[in-house]
Amino acid sequence: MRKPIAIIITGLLLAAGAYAGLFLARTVPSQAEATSELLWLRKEFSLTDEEFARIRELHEGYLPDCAKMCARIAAANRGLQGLVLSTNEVTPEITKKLSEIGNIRQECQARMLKHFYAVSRAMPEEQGRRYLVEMQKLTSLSNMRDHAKTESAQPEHGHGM
Amino acid sequence: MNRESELLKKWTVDVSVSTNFNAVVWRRIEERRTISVAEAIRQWLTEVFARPAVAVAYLSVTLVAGLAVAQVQSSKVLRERDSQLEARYVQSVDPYAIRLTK
Repeated sequence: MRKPIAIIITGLLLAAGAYAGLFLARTVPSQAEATSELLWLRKEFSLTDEEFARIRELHEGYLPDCAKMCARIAAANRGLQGLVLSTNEVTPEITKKLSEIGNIRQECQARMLKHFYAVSRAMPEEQGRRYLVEMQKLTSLSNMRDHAKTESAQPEHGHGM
Repeated sequence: MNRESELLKKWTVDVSVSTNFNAVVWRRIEERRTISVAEAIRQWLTEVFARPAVAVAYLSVTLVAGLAVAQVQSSKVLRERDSQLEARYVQSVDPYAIRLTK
């Protein structure tokens, strides 16, 4: 009886070992992979070392700009919050603040789009096009598309018509 | 046909059978009849794994099963990780992304 039990246990150990080996080999990230969101770009768009280095440079150049925009957005939002809570009607100050927030958003999205174009140009043409499609889908730029859907579903809700 | 019949008639068994032969046979039959499930499984396993081909096939199947499960589960983990990295990238370039994803 010892022999069959030994074979069964060996089989189970073999399965567990094969599982652990393959699972760990495929999923344990390297130190760099674990910390860099840019590696998603590299993998997703099959970038060469040269393309990746160029895109990293663009990304690092864009981040301080992006952080400044974030700070402006946060300050404008805080300002609006203060104004909204200080009254019970739409005051000229609130309208002005809303306009300011709209302008910041427009400026931010224009800078972001400019960055996306620069990144897409650093990629092979086909991948660059795919990157732009993905970024439009994944970022706040997709708001425009969502609204277009609403417009087609409800023609009477269309603006500027 | 007649020849075989004649030979069979002449044939005699000259092997001596023990006196308790019947008793031994009946005891064995009784043992087999009253065997427990665990004992039946044990006997079956012993018989099955006595054949090297079956043992090798079993080990191969467990190996492939382990690899297949690891492949499926690690693919799922990698997809989730890719999607997290994608979200992190988007959040790093889009100040409005956090609000959209929350």
